[in-house]
Amino acid sequence: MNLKDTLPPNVVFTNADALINWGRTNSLWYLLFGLACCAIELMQAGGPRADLDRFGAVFRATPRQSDLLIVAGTVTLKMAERVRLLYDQMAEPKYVISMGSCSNCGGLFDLSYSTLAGIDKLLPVDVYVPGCPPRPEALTEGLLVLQEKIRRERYLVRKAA
Amino acid sequence: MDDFGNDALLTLLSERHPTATLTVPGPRPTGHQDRTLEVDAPHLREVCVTLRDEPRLSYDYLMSLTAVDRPPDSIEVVAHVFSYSHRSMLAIRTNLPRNAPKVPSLSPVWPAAGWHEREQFDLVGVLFEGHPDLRRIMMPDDWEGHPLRKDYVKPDRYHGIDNTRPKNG
Repeated sequence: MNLKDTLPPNVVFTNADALINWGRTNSLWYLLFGLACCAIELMQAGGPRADLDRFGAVFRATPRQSDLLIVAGTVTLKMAERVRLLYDQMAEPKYVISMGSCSNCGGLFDLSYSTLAGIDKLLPVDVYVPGCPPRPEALTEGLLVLQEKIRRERYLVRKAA
Repeated sequence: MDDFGNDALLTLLSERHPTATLTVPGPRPTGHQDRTLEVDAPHLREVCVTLRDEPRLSYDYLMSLTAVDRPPDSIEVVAHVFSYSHRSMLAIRTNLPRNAPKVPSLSPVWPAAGWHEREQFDLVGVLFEGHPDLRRIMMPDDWEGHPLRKDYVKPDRYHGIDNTRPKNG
């Protein structure tokens, strides 16, 4: 007789990592934070048509409650350290999506005197979303890729030396 | 204002400001047609007060104030003013030495000049004497140099952040 058949129907088997990651992937709260034109597309992504909410991603207005920083727009040198400050205030585990060409590599304004040549000069980036600006669908794709990455993470397994 | 041509403008201003060096150059070969008045820097503010207060001119609205770096020798400050009552526009140009660009501030004449002058101080490095609050407005306060000077070189690092990226091809 199968052990599973002896249990009540509301009991399922899983491992702790999978359960935790299932919860984390579907509650990626991102910081309400935009820098330039990409922020307009970010707002659209949160709106009713693209609707990031259906993946459990809702914005929070404080970094202390956020899991995900979406760097949406041109990062100027004056702003760069402020972005870093926001990132530092987020609790681990935390993730970064770099949205758009400017945030990826400086983009159109790379040759300007005041533009940071990509947010990865300052923060570890998990997913780069190309585009200028990326459409809400592209950002949604970026979020799904990030979810896939989180789903594969293993916290409770000690790595063999 | 139709009958108030370049000569009349020059005559009126020369009578009020006999020591000032004033010219009204014709249209530039580049083709733009703005009526232009050139003033020497020391007399700029008093000439502007006349332009604002004289009823036949009454340039009461500052449209823009900017600076142009013209290496090797000069920096030009250009202000565009408009008269609502006469529906007339005038560009005011002042040439400054590039190694010491100082000009009287126009903020006491047109308060709108305040932030424009801070911008030109920040990006081109023009000193506006008599400005109430001449600080950088766009670049960080600790920034070195003036980015819109033609010989400006973009720094590779800022506050320890490496800001270079290898180019493809």
